Amino acid sequence: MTENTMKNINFDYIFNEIRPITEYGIRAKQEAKPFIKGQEADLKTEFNKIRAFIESRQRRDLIDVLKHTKNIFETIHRAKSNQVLDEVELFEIKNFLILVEKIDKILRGISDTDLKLLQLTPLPQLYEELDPAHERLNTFYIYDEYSQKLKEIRNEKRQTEKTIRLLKKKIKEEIQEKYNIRLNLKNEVAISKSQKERIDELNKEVNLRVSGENYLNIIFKIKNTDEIDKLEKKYEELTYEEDDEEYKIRQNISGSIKEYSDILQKNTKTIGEIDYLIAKANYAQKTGSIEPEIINELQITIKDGRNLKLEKTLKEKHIQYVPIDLNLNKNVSCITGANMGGKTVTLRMIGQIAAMASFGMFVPCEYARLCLFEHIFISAGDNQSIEKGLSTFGAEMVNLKEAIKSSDRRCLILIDELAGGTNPKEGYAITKAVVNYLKNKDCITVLTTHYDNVANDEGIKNLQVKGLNLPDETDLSKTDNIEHVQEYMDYRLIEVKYSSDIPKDALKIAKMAGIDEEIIKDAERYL
Amino acid sequence: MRLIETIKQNNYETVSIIGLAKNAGKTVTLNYLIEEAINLNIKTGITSTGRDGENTDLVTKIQKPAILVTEGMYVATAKKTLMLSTAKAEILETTGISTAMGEVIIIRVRQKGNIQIAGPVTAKDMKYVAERLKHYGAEVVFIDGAIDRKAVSSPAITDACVIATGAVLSRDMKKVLEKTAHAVECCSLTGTDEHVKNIVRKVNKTCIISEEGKAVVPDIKTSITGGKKISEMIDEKTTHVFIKGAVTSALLKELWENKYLRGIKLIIEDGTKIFTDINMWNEMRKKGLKVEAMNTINVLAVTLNPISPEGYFFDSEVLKENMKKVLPRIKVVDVVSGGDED
Repeated sequence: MTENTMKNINFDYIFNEIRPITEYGIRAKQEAKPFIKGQEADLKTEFNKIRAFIESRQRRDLIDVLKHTKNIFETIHRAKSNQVLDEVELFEIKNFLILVEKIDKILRGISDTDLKLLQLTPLPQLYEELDPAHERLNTFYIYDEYSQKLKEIRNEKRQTEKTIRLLKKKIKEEIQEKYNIRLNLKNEVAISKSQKERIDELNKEVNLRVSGENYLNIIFKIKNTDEIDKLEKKYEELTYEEDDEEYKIRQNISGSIKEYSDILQKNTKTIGEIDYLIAKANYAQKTGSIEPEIINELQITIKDGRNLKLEKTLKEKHIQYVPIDLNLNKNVSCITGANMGGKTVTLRMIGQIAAMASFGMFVPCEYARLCLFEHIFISAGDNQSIEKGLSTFGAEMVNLKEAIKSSDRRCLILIDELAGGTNPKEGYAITKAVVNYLKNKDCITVLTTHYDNVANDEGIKNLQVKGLNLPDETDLSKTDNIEHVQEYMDYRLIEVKYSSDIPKDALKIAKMAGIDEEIIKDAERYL
Repeated sequence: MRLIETIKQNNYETVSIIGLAKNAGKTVTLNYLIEEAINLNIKTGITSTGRDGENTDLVTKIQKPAILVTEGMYVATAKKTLMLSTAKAEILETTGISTAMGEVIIIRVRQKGNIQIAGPVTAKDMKYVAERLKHYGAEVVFIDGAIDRKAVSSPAITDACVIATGAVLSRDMKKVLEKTAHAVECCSLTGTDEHVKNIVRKVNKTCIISEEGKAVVPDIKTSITGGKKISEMIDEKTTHVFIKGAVTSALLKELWENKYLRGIKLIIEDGTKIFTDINMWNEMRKKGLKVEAMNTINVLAVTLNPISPEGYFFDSEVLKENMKKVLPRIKVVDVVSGGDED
């Protein structure tokens, strides 16, 4: 599926609505690849996992845990490349281990065989290394318990600090008492220069020194005694020793983390998978989607299918969406019928459902049975190509070429009003030829068309929009509003077997849109 | 009563320290409050809106006191600054809030040391961090506010504020007094009547309120550029004008053009939103400009730093006495000279 197709069938909107919580989940989503023909069994397992999450009460608990998950890719990577992790990184690893344990415990509580495939590996040994004090807290510190040496250094540091504090306090108190002055928090006092005697006195005090002067005051500060100087130097040395020891400890733990880095990485991946699956389960529940039945035969059957993007838009306008039934069991199907009959919407819906199923998502309908495709194509009002300078017709042909090129493999090809922008004669001819070509391929092609006689072929399924269902003709002119069309439109599709003509509702709709009566009358003459 | 006791007695849980200029003594004030809290065994939490606690100030390259934190204190700061600190920390939480200096980390101090503090930048993040610090056990959270981030002292986040001012504001002591008085005035404006508050809360946009209690919203992009339009809509029936966001000199001048303005009340969000020229403001106030605030800020105290890093200084006693005269109802503390309080 090209990006263009993704946008055109509004699958980009749907995929955006899948919102994993963690960065691991976001990554899993980004790396997600569609399941293609031949991977039906894998897809079935994927669906089983989603269903298990939908049905399990533990989904809430898992979401709560996932919300607290931080990205540690970078940290694991650093450990792997022999870097010494800092305290914050060790904290992150510790929390990640706690989280893995929690998720693992919750998963074990869900008795589903397919979820057993989501194997997490708790690392209690590594956790022990990050919690040497057995505090069972999710905080981290280079604990004293890491080494006897660290403990001793810290004790000595504490003692030294206490001694310094007491010594300083004693000196401060002595000075304050002796000279009847008050020293501030910085152990300073400002003395007015007018107090000459006091200044002389303080100048002589061995425990004071002049720390500043201005035109009014002289500022005295407590001087360290030799003993204090020595102790402070000792304190500083102890700090260096402590830093050294802490570094060694961090180095050791980082080494252990490196040993386990592959398992850690695998765990992040599994968490990502779980997160992505839960996001899909949430969305399935939110949109009332169901698990589709995946078959090998070329077929798409949809009961009460909904186009999610349109449904949302209508909901905002308080308009009910009319679900559509479809059974595409031939290689080529035509959708014909009234303008504004929802043909393009239905086309997009088919694309959405097929794309959702292939991305391992539940689908928005009552029932769906379909096969997997290798490619999905759509040609419908491709604005992007037009911006590139191609005309509508030119863009269509470029798209068509791509689809036809891939039609040797199993594809879903959706074509909206092929060659509608060119002259009817040639347009019809091209359409007919394309249909003839594609009806022998292992592809499902669905096209909407206004051309009579395209669907008039044994091998082609003709689905017709039921169309306008007006109470009587007089209503038409009264309504005079194009928006009322949807009130009278029956969007359902019926299979038409022998009719070759396409219902003509265009004039009625033109009338409702408020086109001049004179023109409508005139047009009727030409029919 | 000592400042810290006032904080405890009023149950203020979050107190911001706003410096009126760089080197106004904000960090000294913070250290002072921390020391006081330690003496009373009050557990504190600390964070900042700018990078602080560095040896030299990033802006002016002047020696700056570091923030000394002791065992049991809680700190929220960016990772890079944490890694440079000499204090030993127990990591409690990585908040996911990112700053230029890295993610904001919440720690408990396990061994005292000097720490650099660079907290969250936005008001919303600040509110979260303050809550978390309290959650872990801080009884009082001090927020060191940067000069250009007055918004954190907005009542939405903090219960009260301390304003740090000093000689650095001007060589002229009169100017220092004037600027400080203006800042205090802005913070402690009268609160608006409850019924007017309700009208404003409902509209939550710049609006003109008439005597019948009807609010009209002018068609303007911002209040800053919409002064003329607002002014045109003020008539004899107008009782209040609410300005959402900043009140600038230009805006005030344009409003002043309206002859009815003297009779009506100008309502602003809070004192941190005033950015006008002091002289103009004072003149208008004298001539009858009435200003009220949706939220009032508790100014707990003004702290003084009588020394300017440019080398000049004031006599600390004189500055203190004069400040007390212009701010008779506010506690004035000279934290640099000693922090003695009356």
